[in-house]
Amino acid sequence: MNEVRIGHSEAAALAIICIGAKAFLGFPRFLAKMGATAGWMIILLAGIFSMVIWFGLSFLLQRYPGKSLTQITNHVVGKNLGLVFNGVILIYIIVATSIHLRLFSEAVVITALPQAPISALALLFLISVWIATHLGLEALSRSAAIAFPYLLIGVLAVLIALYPFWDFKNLLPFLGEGVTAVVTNGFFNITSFGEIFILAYLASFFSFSARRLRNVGLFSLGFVTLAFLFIVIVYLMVFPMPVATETLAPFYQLSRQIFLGRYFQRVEAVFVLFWTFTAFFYLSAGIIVSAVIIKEAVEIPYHRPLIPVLSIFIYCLALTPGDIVEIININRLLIVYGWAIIFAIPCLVWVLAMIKGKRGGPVDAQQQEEK
Amino acid sequence: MLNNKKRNSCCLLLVILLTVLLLPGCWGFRETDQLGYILSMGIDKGKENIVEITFTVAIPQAPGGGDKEKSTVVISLEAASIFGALQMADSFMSRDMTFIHNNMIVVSEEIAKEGLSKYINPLVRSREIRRNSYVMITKGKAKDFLEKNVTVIEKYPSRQIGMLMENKKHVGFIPVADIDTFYDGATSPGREPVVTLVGVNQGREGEEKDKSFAEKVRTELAYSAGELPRSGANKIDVIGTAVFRRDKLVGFLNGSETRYYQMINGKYGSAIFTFPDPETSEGYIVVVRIKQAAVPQVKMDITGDVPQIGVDLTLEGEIMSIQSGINYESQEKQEEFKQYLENYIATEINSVVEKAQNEFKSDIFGLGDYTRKYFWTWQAWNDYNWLERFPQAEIEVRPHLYIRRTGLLINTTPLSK
Amino acid sequence: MSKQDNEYKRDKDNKKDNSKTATFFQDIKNLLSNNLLFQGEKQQEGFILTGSGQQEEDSKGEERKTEQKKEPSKKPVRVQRTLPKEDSKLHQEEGGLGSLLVDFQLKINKKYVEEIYSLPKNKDIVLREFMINFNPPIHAFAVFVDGLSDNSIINEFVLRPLMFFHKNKEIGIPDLAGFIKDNILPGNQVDVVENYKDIVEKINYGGTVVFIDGSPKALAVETKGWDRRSIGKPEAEQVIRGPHEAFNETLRSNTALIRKAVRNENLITEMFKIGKRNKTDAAIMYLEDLANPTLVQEVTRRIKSINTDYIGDTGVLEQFIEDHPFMIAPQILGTERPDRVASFLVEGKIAIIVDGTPNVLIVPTTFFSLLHSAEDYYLRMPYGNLVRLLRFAAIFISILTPGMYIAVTTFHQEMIPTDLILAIAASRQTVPFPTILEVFLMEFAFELIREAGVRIPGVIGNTLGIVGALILGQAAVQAGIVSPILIIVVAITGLASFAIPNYSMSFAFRGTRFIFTILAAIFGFFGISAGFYIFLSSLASMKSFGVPFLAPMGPKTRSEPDLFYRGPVWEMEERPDYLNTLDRRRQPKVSRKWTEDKGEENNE
Repeated sequence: MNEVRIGHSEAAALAIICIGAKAFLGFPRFLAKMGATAGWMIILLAGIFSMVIWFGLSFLLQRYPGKSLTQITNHVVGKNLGLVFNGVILIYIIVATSIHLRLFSEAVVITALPQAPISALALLFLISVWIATHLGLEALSRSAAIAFPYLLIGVLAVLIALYPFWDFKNLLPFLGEGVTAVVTNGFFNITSFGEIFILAYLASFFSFSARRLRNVGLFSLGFVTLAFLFIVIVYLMVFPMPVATETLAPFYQLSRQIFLGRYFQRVEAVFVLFWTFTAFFYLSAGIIVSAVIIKEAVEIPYHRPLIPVLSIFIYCLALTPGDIVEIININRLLIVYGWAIIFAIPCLVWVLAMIKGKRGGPVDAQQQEEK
Repeated sequence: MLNNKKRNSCCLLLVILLTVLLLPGCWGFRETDQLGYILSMGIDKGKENIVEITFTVAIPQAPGGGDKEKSTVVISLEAASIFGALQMADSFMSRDMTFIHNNMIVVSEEIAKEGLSKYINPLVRSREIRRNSYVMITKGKAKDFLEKNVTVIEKYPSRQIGMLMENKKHVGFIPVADIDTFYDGATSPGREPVVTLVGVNQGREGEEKDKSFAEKVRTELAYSAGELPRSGANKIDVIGTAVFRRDKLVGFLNGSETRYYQMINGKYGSAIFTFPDPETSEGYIVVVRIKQAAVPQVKMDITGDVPQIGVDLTLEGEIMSIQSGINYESQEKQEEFKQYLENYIATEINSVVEKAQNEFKSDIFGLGDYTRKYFWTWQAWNDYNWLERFPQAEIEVRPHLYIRRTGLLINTTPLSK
Repeated sequence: MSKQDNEYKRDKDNKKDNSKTATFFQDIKNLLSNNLLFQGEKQQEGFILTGSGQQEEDSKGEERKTEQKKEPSKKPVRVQRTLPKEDSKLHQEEGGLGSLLVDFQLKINKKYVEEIYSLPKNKDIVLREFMINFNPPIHAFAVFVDGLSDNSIINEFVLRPLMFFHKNKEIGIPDLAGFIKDNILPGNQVDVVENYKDIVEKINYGGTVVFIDGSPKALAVETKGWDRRSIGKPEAEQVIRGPHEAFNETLRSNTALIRKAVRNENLITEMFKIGKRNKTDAAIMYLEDLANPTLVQEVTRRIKSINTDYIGDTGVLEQFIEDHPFMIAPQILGTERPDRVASFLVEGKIAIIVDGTPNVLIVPTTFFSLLHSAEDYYLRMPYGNLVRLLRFAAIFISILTPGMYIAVTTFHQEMIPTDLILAIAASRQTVPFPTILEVFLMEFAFELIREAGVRIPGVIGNTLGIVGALILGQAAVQAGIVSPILIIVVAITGLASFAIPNYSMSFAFRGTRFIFTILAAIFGFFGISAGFYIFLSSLASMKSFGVPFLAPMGPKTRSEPDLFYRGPVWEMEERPDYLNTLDRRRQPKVSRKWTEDKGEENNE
């Protein structure tokens, strides 16, 4: 068994930061485009949908306490098919991580360092992430738990400092692009909450019960939904509708907008600190989770040696696409269709597990052997 | 425990990587004294090229040092675009010109009439330009305005304009407009943008004009920038509104009208109003400080072809001066006095509304945004096409004034006869 | 572990043989293979603090192993009367001396002593021969180190009774040494010793040993009495409120100071001897009914396992026993205040005292205890919190200010209010260096002044610090080498680093700020963010004696209101969760009984 033990607040903080990181990229704009003035409703629905799915899947996790989703997949569908399933998930995570590495680096170029080459920025991201992941999952989750309240304060500071610009009229018409658009996009957008599966794939590292894990997941999803809701609502209130679909980096644009008298303005550079910090956590989690999935899928004893390989691979992959428009399109595709991988495969495993009716018996035996 | 060697080599690796990163130099590393800070920018029609761009560039001065040295230099260039002019300036300015501290953009009337979005909207894309840079329209040339703007109290024009805008915002005779509000206004289907009106004062002496007493009182602030009968101090005036339909300038509101206009969109703060004395026929005035006490309440009915709109304003007043010595603050007269002021204000406001509807055909009040709640979807609201319907709308503005305070006196004794 | 060590040694040997270039390539190769390749199992944590004492057997086993490794002493001992062979452990351990016993004949003993102490070459050791006034008089001699032992005690209570009293006492008593101890010597600590190892130990630490002709045993009299510093004021941890006592260099008076503060019979003082050549005395102190037994065991294990020849200070011992020697933050707290030690002891921590140092180590230590000062608790809650707030601001100032300054003035100029940026630009107009060089120049000068201030003797030191800083700063500005704003930045950074109560921690922050400055110079705020991320991760990964360094914040555990915010003293009801103490509760829910009593009275 793993000697690393992660408590519930660390787990929740890591999940929340990883899901929430995309709020600093184009996510609010994406929602504005899909739902117009009702963009916030999409995220609310998506949050509720993903909570329902997580609630369902948590029964699968409760069946095999102390086992991660990778191990469960292997156990339920057998090693060969499990390799395929886990492989698909792994590829998805690697692609998502590298896309985000590129997006975050692009965002730094656009917002803070227009002269710097993207490769250098991505490299700094990578070095920091490498060191952090090398120090271990425990350190990562702990620093996430420590940083979390401060990141939250940073985000809230931006949103509340914009109070003079809040105009509730901008949230009307109420249904935005219409009911159908809101509901369908609401469903497709569950991918935005896909990072919650970090909890499922790291389940073997947690010091708490699977039942607790379910609550941690629900809490994280609920919290992130609220946070997204707040961000999107403020975004739509500050940037009225046609303008809201234009900005490349909505959160940065929001922080640029802050104007509290002549002395407290132009502070967007400070908030670079906050959102790059979440980016570090997102990327670290992406790399470490991929490493852990490989480790557990092919049952090798350590995940640490995989980290350099994965880091370099992700770095190369991130720098492959040519321009920012391409990246954003890939990211859009990932959000629209990603649920088919990140949510559907675990659900399939769940269904298979129910059909086979395999209880956790053999797994427990295996556990005892290991001990 | 990791072994020592590993730690050592980790450190070494980090140092090597950092050096590698350092080697190509520090990207975008710019010293503070390497930059030329543009504080304000003017856009005029060019003669030889498309536009003539004027920059006010700061000459940094150490605090406490030289007392009356020139703090800015104004340069003008003809170019095809704003950024082209920026490039061109680099050919003769020793410093790297940058917009990061630019906080005002002055546009000439001529350009504004052709359409401002060509010049202002692309600025939103730039990282250096602040979205909250003030946008102003000047009658005449922007270049003139920037050249004549010699700060008197402040050291740099950016501070001067910043303070002017901050302080004058609540007085109400200018609308505060920046790139952001202009951009939002010009793209929104629910309202039209307005821009601050500025101008160079010609140092005009007051002229003899055939105006009645009441007319004189009424037009106390009815001047646009550049026309104020005043002398001394800085050469520039900041008063009045430039009204746009979409991105084209369609007309101006003078200072007095701007105050009434701002009451409707709720951005008016508190200002001093002068009224003719209601009871004496000639020669006396009353001065009241009027404050907007609540957000305007807009009620509308858009079921018919012609939208019916009622706007209720809540105003609070404080009597500042009563020349005639009549006791308007007394219980008996108060109601009557209040009625008089309300009617007076209502007439003025409704004439502004009429001007907007008939002359400008531009919903500068943002009333369209109140229609949003009658639609379910964005598409439906867009299709309603409010901006086309605005000129036909029946708008009634009802000010409700409450005299809350009467200054330091509660009673005035009339002159003994 | 040992396997890796061997490999390491072999690597080293190989390197010596090869030429320089080969060494270089070897280095690179090792570097790459160490970092890029995986090398089997890494033991991440040697010790994790858990509930109870299950590790007992393991540690004992290891203890034994380490002891066996000790090399034999090189000092030749020619004449020997040894113990029976079966006690081979003892024999090996002390390399001959341990097995050497006192002889019957005084002559031989004298020879031994002369041999051991290289007499008469060695002038510190006094060998005083005299006659014990028995009937007939017996030859005897006393050995002591001049200066370490108190001469008047030796004269009054060793030589005088033996030489003048009990005249004409008949001899023929079988246990002569025992008789003398029981009847003649009035010293409060007199031992009968027969092993030279013990004898040498006593003499080396100020005792006097009396050898008696015809007795196979000697008498060791406690006569310690060297010139020592009296208990003074703390130098580095001064407070306005609270005790002004500080430890001094004597182990015994230090333990006494602690015992005086913690008047409890459960306070245990365990003594060790560290170092092979020197045998420095060390002690650990803990409250037996509080401290986690595993923790005590681990501390004992680590201290006992040290195999070195000389440990002169707790600073050295700290480096021998800490978990992460290469991390930037200290993992052991050193303090010179007995009251501080006492407050940690009652929390369930362990104090390590080494003879000869006025600094006492506290283990385990967390990040937050390194940032608290004794005075925080002595002041009333609001004042204490004010001080804390100031201090936590000081941390960020001391780490980040130069970096922030660089980042803001060279990358994010739009952040600074226009008037200020123009002032900065104007003041930099004559400066011939880039800002980064300017910052490093001034920071370097500041550190130089600081270091020189410590070295320069006495009163001049302080004066020089102030004068140096003032004059240097002023002159640098006037010469146009640095801009005036930078002086403010450097000064406030330096000031903030002085506000950190722990000396080691303040070093850590001082060092880190240079890293942040460099990162900021390359990447602006993004660099600072990256640096902070690595800094935080490394802190979060650290452990101090099995306790996570950032506990109770990361991992989140139950904790008292005593991290950033200091709650009222009566609210601190429990001991830190991460210590797993035997008794968790510090005080009952209602510790201010009078509040309750009054309520009851009212009810009646």
